[in-house]
Amino acid sequence: MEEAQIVAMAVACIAEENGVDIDKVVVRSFKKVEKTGLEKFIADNNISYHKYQLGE
Amino acid sequence: MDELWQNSIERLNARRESAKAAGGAERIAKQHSSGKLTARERMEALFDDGTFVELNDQTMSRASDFGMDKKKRIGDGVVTGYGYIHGRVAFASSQDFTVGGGSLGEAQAQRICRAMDKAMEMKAPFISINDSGGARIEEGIDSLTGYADIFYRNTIASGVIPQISVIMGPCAGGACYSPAITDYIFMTDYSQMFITGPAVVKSVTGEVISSADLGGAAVHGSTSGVAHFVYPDDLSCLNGVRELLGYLPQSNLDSTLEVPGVAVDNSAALADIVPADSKKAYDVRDVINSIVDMGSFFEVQPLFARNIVVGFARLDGETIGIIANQSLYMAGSLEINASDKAARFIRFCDSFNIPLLTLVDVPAFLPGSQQEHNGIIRHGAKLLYSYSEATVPKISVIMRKAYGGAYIAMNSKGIGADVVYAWPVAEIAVMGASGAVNIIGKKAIEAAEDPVAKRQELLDDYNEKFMNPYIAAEHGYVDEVILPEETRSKIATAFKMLKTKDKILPYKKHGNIPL
Repeated sequence: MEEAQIVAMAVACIAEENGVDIDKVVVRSFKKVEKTGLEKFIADNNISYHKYQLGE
Repeated sequence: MDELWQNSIERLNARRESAKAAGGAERIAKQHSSGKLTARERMEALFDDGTFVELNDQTMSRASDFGMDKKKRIGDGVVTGYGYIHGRVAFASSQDFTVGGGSLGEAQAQRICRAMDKAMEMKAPFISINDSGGARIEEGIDSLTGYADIFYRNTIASGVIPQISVIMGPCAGGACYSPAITDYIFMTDYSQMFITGPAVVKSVTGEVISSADLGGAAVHGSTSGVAHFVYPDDLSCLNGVRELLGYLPQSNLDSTLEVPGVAVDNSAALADIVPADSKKAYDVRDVINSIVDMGSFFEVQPLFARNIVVGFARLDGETIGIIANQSLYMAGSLEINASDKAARFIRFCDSFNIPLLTLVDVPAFLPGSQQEHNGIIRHGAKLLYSYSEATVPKISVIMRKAYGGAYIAMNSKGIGADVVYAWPVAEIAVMGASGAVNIIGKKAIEAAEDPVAKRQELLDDYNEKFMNPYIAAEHGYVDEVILPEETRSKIATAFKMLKTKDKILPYKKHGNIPL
């Protein structure tokens, strides 16, 4: 999927959630959230990992 | 945005990138190839997702001797900061082995100390992840003083906030003493701790030994008792830290979290788990698991001093500390290591307001010259001292044997137990029938026409009179003789009653526990 499409979908979702007319939304800038170092390490090494959560 | 702004932003971004780059791609790859995470990845795994905030990321060494002016890196080989674990704030440091082998110099120590100070101010746990070659030789005495600053803070924070050390690489020399002062030490399978490494050992004593055999996780988890928890890798180890913290309060002024679990009362199984014949062994962990909330038992030092079991569990959602004699090993007798293990656990629980449940099935202090010569008297005294000093709610269940000094030491009424229960098969006496008859019936047996019959008569008499819980109950040393199937409900009810216990010891600077 193109980057612009992904941004458009995200904007549409946020606009809908907040009841804003999407035609009036202007995206001035956006930042790609990259995988964290840990996420990359886990993905690169095919590690099965689940972070412990309270009460498990 | 004018050019000045642009330049300033670029400079900051470059410094940030430099800090994040740590020791460079090559060293990070080497760290990964040895199965280890980087310092920042460990922080990510430790804290709740997306909550880690780095502090003092621009820290840098002031040293310039011995080429330090060229070697030093932004961050100085450690990452510090705070984040949330189960929604509660915690502080941590994580040494970065990719930068100068994680060696500790003045600036790194200061950075760690600042995070420790914040943890103390915020009354939050402090977790120290160790992966370091040791003192940074180029920084000389400033490096050693850095360690001293950390040890001092570890000591002052002891009993105020939970302190956890996680060893994920080498930890050698003086560096070992920070973990040693903290409450719990976690080790990964490939980590090592020793005061002097194999090379020095060989040069001084001639002994040839590998790093793993000298101070590997297996050794410290089972033989020395230095490590409380051993895990195969970084991720499982940091999950273990998260699990432990779920049982602990944030500080000595806080309460533990209530974690609603599955409160299944399996006490009805206890009479099947524990043989009435006190010579037969069983796994006391089965007893524990039948009493506490399902799956909530978290054992501490499971492979060290296995004749006593200690750990945390939840009862009706609330944390309790459990101490239990394990008849599978040494018939559950108390010896030096078991006394040390239990005493330290009791003191931790008392420091952090965690009620204590003691499950008693103890034949004696282990006899023998090895024990006597290595100081069972002073080590056993730690157990008595710790129970006596503890002001948290203390409940005992005498399941079977409770003999002699070991009976006293296992949270008896006389040393401050709030509530003592006993099962109908409990034997509370100075010693077992056979030993007792050999002493008190010696003359009668020798004078008898039929010594064998006389001995049996005396045994029957002793068993009838003493090998039961009723004399102790008659004299008030046992509050109630209960059926095994009543165990969980009785304990839960008693802990509920004891919730407002407010016992204050006389003022003192501190006691003088026999160390």
